[in-house]
Amino acid sequence: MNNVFMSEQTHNIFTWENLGDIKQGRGNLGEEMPVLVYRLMQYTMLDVLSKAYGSDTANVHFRAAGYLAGTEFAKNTLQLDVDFDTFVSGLQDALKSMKIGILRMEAFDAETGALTLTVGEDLDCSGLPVTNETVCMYDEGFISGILEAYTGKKYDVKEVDCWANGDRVCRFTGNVTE
Amino acid sequence: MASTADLLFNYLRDIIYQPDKAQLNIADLDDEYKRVGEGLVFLEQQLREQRLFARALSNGDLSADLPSRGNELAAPLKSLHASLRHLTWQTQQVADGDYRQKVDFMGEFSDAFNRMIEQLDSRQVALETEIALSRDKSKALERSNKLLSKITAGIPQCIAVLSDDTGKLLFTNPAAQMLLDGDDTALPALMARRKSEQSESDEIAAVTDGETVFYSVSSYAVHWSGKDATAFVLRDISADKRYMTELEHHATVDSLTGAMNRYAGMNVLYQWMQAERKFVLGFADLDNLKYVNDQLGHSEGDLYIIRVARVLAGFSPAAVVSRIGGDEFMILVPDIEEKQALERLAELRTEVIEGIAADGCRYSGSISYGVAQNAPGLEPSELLGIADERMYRFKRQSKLLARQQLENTSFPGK
Repeated sequence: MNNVFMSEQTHNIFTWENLGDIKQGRGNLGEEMPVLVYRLMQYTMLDVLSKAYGSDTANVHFRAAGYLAGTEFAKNTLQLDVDFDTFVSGLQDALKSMKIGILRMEAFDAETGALTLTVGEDLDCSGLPVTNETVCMYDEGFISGILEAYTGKKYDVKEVDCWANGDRVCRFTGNVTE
Repeated sequence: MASTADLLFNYLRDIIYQPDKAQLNIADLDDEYKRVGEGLVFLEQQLREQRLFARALSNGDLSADLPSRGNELAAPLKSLHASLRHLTWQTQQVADGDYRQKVDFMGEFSDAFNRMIEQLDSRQVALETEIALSRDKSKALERSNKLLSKITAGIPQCIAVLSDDTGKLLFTNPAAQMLLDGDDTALPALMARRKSEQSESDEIAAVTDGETVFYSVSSYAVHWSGKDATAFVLRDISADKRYMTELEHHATVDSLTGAMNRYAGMNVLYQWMQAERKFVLGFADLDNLKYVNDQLGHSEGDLYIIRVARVLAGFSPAAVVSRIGGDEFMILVPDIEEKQALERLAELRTEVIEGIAADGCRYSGSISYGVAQNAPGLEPSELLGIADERMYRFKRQSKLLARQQLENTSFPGK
């Protein structure tokens, strides 16, 4: 007989609530952990997916995961019913306080919605060895999800430059696709 | 043919000192140095990209082509480029009034920039506070003006507010509106008094219903509906002026005869003597007044005085006649000689005598008089004394003459 008290939800389908009560669950260790562990999970997963489905397909899924994360992040942590400047200011604060990266806006065209921004000390890639590859697919999806949640328009976000030094900075462009 | 070592050395020197000419043909190198040569060519390409990018940045060109993705040597410049682009965006935001921008990546420049933004923000807040206060004051002022309008609607004084710049009427209470509607000269008179603040020393005259009405004018500098203006308060002082005229009349005119009183007559005497005018002072005294008062009553005596006053008033248009005692009159006549004055007084004396006789009065009346010409060095009292003395001499002679006539009449045979 089925346990009727159990929720029908599954962790294979993402919901913000299913992230759980981290503070309560990690009473001693706390809510934070080293970036190393985050990357360990991200790049091992990319490794497994690439081997199973090929790099291109793995990248597509990685970008889609980032998009889902960005959408949920925006809906659950950002104020979306504000003017653009206030929204950017709030996004900068949120990315910085959660140690995701340092967002710096370079350009924004209010008419077309096109923008250029950089993310410094990026959680995903800052400090990675240079391999002449685009590695920030997850970031691309993450940023497009955030922009879509705010504007209601589909965004195509591309990492146009990614380089390494002591302060790794990634530059992204975003364009409205519909 | 140059050795591989020379080719590599010259190529390396050109990379540093003549980058535009730097060229290396790998095929010319010995096999064991070909890989070193390829590395140097890659280095030269990286350096060229870096140099071009640095030159563009130094020229302020933030739209230049970026070095290739794998160019590690150019990474710090790319980072600087990103910072400058972000700084440009932040500055644009500040220019649009977003003072939340903070720079946290450019050392001392960040401190200066952030301090500047804080100051701009503070000034903006101060300005907005000032504007809000000003707006509150304007609203309060507007409420006060409304209250003022209500209050002034019921008072008799005229209240009008004129713009200092244009002279346009900003406010009138009903009394002022009635005044301005009735007289076209009132508004220009007020316009001429704009921008002045004064007490009730000023006055204007206006015609209302065909009658001249006098108003005292007080003006006050005010701020009305956001404009510099002058508020006028006009008070009807016509009754005051009439009262003042009456007071002046009573102070200078003898109520019985209508001639000047002693105070006014003596004032004229002092003024003329001070101005050293040429004039004759005449002193005239009623004869027989005591008899008239005692025998016929004071009413008859008063009529006798009035009769003489009227006759003396006809001396000449320029003569100033004043009653300076119960039965004494002073006549001041400018630009005349004693002889002419005596002749005229003799005529007037005859007029008095004949008038009394003609009117059938029960007494005989006449005047005695004396005159004195003003002369340099004389005091008013001395001039009066001379005329008085001559008048008494005249009176004595008249009495003596009258007695002789009486004796001759009583005893015609003597």
